[in-house]
Order: sequence, then C-alpha cells, then structure tokens
Amino acid sequence: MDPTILAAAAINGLLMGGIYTLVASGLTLIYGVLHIINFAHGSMLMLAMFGVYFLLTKLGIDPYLALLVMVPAMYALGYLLYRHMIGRLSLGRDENILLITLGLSILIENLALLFFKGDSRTVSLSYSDKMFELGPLLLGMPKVISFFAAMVLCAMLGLFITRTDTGKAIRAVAKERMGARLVGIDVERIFAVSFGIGLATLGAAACLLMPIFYVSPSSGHVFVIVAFTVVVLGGMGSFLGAVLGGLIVGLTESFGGLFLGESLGQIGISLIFILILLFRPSGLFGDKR
Amino acid sequence: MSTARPSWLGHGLLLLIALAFPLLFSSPFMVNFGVLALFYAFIGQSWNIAGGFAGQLSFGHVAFFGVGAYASTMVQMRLGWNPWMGLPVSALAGAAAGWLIAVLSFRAGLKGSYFALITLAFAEVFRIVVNSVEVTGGGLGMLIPMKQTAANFQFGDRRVFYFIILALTVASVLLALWLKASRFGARLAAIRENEDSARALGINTFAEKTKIMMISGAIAGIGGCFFAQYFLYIDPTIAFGVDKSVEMLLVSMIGGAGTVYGPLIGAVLLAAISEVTRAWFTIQGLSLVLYGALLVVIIAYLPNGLIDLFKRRSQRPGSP
Amino acid sequence: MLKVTNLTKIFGGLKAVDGASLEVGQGRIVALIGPNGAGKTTLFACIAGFLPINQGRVELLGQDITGMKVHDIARLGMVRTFQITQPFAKLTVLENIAVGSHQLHERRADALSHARNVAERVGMPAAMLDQPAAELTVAGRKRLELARALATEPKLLLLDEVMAGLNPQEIVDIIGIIRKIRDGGVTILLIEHVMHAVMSLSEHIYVLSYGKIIAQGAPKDIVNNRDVVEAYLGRGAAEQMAAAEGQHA
Repeated sequence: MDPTILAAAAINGLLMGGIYTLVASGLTLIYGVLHIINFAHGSMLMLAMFGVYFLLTKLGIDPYLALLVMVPAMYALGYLLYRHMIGRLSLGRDENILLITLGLSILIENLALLFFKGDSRTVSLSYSDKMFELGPLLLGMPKVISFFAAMVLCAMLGLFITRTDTGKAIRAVAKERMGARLVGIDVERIFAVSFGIGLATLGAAACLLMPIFYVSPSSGHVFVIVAFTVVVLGGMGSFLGAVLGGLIVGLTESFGGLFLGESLGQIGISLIFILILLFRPSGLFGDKR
Repeated sequence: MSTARPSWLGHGLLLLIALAFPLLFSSPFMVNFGVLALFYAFIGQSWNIAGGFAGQLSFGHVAFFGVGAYASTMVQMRLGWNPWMGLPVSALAGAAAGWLIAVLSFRAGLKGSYFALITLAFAEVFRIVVNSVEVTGGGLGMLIPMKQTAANFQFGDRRVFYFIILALTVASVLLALWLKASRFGARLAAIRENEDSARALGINTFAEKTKIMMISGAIAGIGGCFFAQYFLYIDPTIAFGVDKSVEMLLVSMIGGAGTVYGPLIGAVLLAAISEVTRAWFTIQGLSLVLYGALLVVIIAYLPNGLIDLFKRRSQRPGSP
Repeated sequence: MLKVTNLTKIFGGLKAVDGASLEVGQGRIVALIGPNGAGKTTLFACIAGFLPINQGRVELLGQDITGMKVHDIARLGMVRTFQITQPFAKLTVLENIAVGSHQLHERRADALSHARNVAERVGMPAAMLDQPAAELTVAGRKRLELARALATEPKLLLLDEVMAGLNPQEIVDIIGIIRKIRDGGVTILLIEHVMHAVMSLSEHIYVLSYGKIIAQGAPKDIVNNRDVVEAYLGRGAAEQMAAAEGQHA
C-alpha cells in the first residue's frame, strides 16, 4: 500500500483521536470522582453538537468561537443536572445509576429525533475546504485546528486538576470520599462540579467536532461506544490513559476504515472494547481491581 | 424473594382473557396491539430470566434476538428450508450466542456494569458484521417473499400469529414459574444477591450463569424468528439495533425485574404507549421518549417495578 | 480432617501468610487466633479456595484440594462463613438457608423443610424465617451465616469471627450452638477474637502473627506462651508481666 495513504490515515486518525481524548476525559472524570458510568455521555455530546449547529445557523456564531458559549453553558447544565436529578438518585447500586443514565440517554436521543428529525446536519464554513500541507499530505484545516484546540483544552483541564484548589479537592474526593469529607471538603459540591466539568468537555468537543463531522440524533449512540472504549482502554480514572486511549482509538478507526472499508471498519473500536474488557479490564493505566 | 402469586383461578382467568381477546377485538389495530404486547412480554421474559432472576443485566440482549432472526431467515432464504424450521434453528442460534457471550464474559470475571457494556459491544459487532456481509443482505437486510400459507409460516389472518405468540408467551411464563420453584432458580437468585456467598455454598456460578444465558438466548432467538415471519423484513438495525435491547430491558424493569409477571405488565404498558403514540400523535419516536422518562422514574421511585404497586395492596405478612 | 502444609500467600511484595501449617483433627474444635492484620482471614480464604496460593498444600480428608475451585471444595464438605456477613439480601431468611440445603436436596419442598430444621438447630425463632435477610440485626446475620453454611451438611466448617458484634448473652448462646454442631459430627476451625469463647470452646489453638504460626497448643499452654503475649501486647511485655507477678508474689 502506498505509504502516503498509510501516513494520511495515521495522521487523520491521530487528529480525530485528540478530540476523542477530550470527550473521554469528561467521562473518565465523572467515573473517577462519582463512580458513575455516564451512559448519557454520547447523547449529551450529540445535544451539544446540535447546540453548536444552531448557534451557527441561527446566530451566525462560528463553532470555534462558540466555545465561549458552549463550555460554560454545558458546565451549568451538568452542575444543575447533578444537583437536581442525579445527585438525588445516586443512592443505591451501581447498576441503578447505569440504568438511570441509560434512561436519560434514551430520553435525550429521542427528544432530539422528535424535534430535529432524523437527518444528519453538517456545517460549512469559509475555511472548511482549506488544507494544510504536511510534506506530500494534505490535511483539512478544521481537523488540524480542532486537534490542537483539543490538546490545549486537555492540557488546561490537566492543569486545573493538578494545580488549583478545586482540582485538588476533586482528586481527593476521587481517591477517598470519606476522608475528603472528614477534612471538610463539600463532597456534594465537588460531585456537581465534576459532573459539570464532564459536560463542559462535551461542550468543547462539540465545538471542535461540528466543523469536521456531522450530527444526527442517532450519533449519540456511536459516540458512547467510542468514548467508553477510550476510557476503558486507558483505564477508568486515568487522564494519561485517556490521551493514549484516544489516540489509539482514532488510529484504529482510521486504519479500520482504510483496510476493511466503510462498513466493516467500524468494527475495530467495538472489538478493542471487547478485547480490553476480556483481557485487561483495568486498562493500560487504570487501577487494578 | 416473595411475590404475590395469583392462584390457579387467577392464572386460568388471565389465560381466558388472553384467548378471548382477539375474538372480542378483531380489528387489525387491536390484534396488532395484542401481538405486540405478547411479543414484548416474550422477549422481555428472555431478558428477565437473565437480568432479573440471575442478576446479569445486559444492555445487548438484542444480539440473541438478531441472531435468531437472521438464522431463521437465512435457512429459509439461502438453504430453502421450511420456515417452521426457523423456530428450532433460531432457538439453537440464540442459545449458541448466549453461550459464547457468557463463556467469554464470565471467564473474564465480568459483572455488573462491565458485563452490561460488553454485551452492548457484542451486539454492535454482530450488527456491523451482518451489515457488511453479502450473505446476510448487507445494509439492505433480507426480505421474505410473501406467500401466506400455513406451511410457509405466514398467515393472512393476523390472529393466527396472535395465538402463536400467545402460546410462546405462555411457555415463557411457565418457564419462569418453574424457575421460581426449582433449585436452579434458587441458585440463580443466590448468584444475583451475592456471588461469593453462592460459591462458598457449593454453587458453580460460572456454569449456572452460562446456562441461564443460553436459555435466555434461545428465547430471544425464537422471538427473532417470530418477528421475521410477522413482518417479513429484517435488517441490521432492526435485528441488532439498540432499540430492541432497550425494550427488552425496559419491559422487565418497569414491570418488575425478577418476577414472573413483571415483563407482562411492562409489555402491555409499552405496547399501549407505542400504539397510542403512533396512532394518535403520528410522531416518530415519541414512544421511546416516554420509555426513557419511564425508566428514569421507575428506577428512582419504584425500583422493583410496577409490580410493587400490586404487592403493597395484597401482601399479607408472612406469606411466601 | 484438614491439613495445611507450609502455605504462603504473597500480595505484591507482602507475605500475608508465611509458611503456615496447621492440622485439624476430625470432630475437633480448633481455633485460629492472632492480632488484627495477622492474616487469619487471608489464610481462611486461601484454604477455602478463594485466593490462589503461592506455595504450600491443603488437604481435606487426605485429598489434595490445593488450587481447586471454591464450589468444588464446598461440595467436598468444607464451607466457610464470612467475617463481614454476606447474606442474600432480598431473599428471606428461610430462602437463604435453603440455598445451602439445596446442596443435598434437589426438590424445593425438601430444601425448604430441611432449612426449617437447620434454623431450629441454630436456635432461630420461627418468626425470623420470613424476614428479608437485609432487615436482620448483626446477631441475626451472624446466625444466618452459620445456618446457611450448616445447611450444606458440611464436614468442616470454617467460621470467621462469628461472634464479632454480639453481646455477651448472644455469645453464650452461640457457644452452645457451636458445641451442638460439633457434637453432631461437624469439625470446626474458627477465627475468633473473643478470648473467653476461644478458651472455653477450643481443644487446640493456633496463633498467627504477621502471617506466621508462632505457637500452637492447648488453651492453657497458649495463654502462658511468651511469644503469644508479645504478639498481642508488644515486645518485652511477657517479661514485664512476669516481673509484675514476681513483685506481687
């Protein structure tokens, strides 16, 4: 096979992978802190993408600029959602929460279907067709911009978690809930903040994905598997793992499509997910259970 | 686990009502509603015995349904077998899929949420495979040519289908009742409540879990065969899409997971919502919105399902 | 009945159990004691097959059961209870015990009546039987744990701190019940912290400290054993006690 094609597939895979990392980091944060497997992660991303879509088509706001709107908006949504709904229902078994987030995802996905109908939406920007040249390769400009933006945001998130007081509190709660409570941390607030941040990353990812992808009410389902695979691959609760996992998943998707074709190519991600769960459920970096 | 169990009289009455239903309400709409309700009850029971009885919650139960649907359709269309052979074929196919997923997942020690997620992934893999392969019709799916004779397992009078699915549902209820009264069922309940204790008491949890997944898979597979014959069309999304997994799960959780009649109650409700929203509002997807909301509400306020409402009135202290 | 030879269990770099050997003769009550964290429950878990062993052998009635699966060991007649009780929460007490009874009784009706029998043997009031296990008190749960294991008609019972959390009266009751069980032909190996119970029940005692068996013998010998005292009270404690006694004499 022509090395140029392989290289192009690799680079494209890595670029997408960067964005998957951003999506997965929210999921891994929510799991790490709240021990909730947020099944609604995918449908919320879909919702956020519709948000970006309408911001552009109705108000003319460029998706990248929309970051300033979407991130705080999704944060607020997450915070309130936790405070008024999920927080109350968190008591009880792990599986109950999984079912509740499942219910939420069904609700969101089908409300979207109701209001937005089943068609896919894409956006077309003035720079959608511009290309970067990298040696013999031509890379779409939006993809490259999104990748770097995603990496910057991941780094910012990482700094927030490691350097700020809230970040430290978050890590404390993730490591030892009771102990955190005993030293005076408002654990409920940290839960809400973490959930908010989790959704905020989706808001950001939505802005970065809209220029290079499409959105339709059923894409939530696709994103869920991708996000979970990244998280499980990297290890639940590990950021470094999410980064590595994202890149690997991006590459798999790209090469899968290249070697197996459009339809069968999608199988790569699900297979990775299954294989990881069967052979190394703690992921590449997670805590061994 | 104690359940309010109707007596033989109660059972007989239920059966009588079910038998009389299509004779009293013979409009196509009502017959279809009846078929749908029983169909959901049947496949819901499949999920219920694995998820409710044995505690193995799966999010990908559609995998068994789809395997059965495709297996029975393929032996009919590609091998020219009599369509009625689809019933045993789909049962075997479903059981085989159940065995495969069980053995892989349980050997790896997966439980709880991880198990739920891996079943989802398996269903997705199956979907992608049948979507990409010619022998299954790829993305276009498979259309069964209409030839409505009894020998061909197709019936112009939909009421025949009603009685078939009624028979299947009755069988599934009998199976569930048997489970409740048997050692196998008691062991499954133990596994559900606390697997370590179950092992310490001599229960081979791996074997029992695998067995129930096979039985559950067989039932869902038969459901797939029935569905294919009723609608004469299947494709990767219908056969392996998340929607059916959700419906199978919902019907049991809403009605009462782990009870014999939970899936029936849930199925009637779901079929009602589905048909009513379709007929009166002609909005696509409204029913699923309601399903989602219903799931959240039930888990939050009535985690044992709607059957709890029945229990609270008739429960006598100390009754088994 | 039970013979454990040189059992070693390593977690990461730590030897939780270090070359432990013990023997339990048929029909006897043997106790395993030691300070907290000594590795007693780990040893139980290893013997019963819940944890893989790094080194050593476990023999039940002469048969090598090292590495066997938990449920196979249970079916051979060795059943353990858990320190932190693990009832089948949503099932009733009777149904809980019946799970054990089903080991030997296939029909539901037989298992249930056998379970009723076992419940009586263990001194459970009939009213308790229809309660969901989740609603029991600590004492009730401990008794249920015991009854469930007993219902499998085991040859050897491994009881893990079955008296923890019980008040003095309940302890007295359970001592009586354990004796009755032994008199019925069951061999018992128990982990216990309630010393007077250990002294009055057991015929032989093993002492575990930091994963090693540091002493074994009849109760009266263990009490005066210097290593045992030091394991519980610290280095030099034995001398201090002897000196104190010398002063008072």
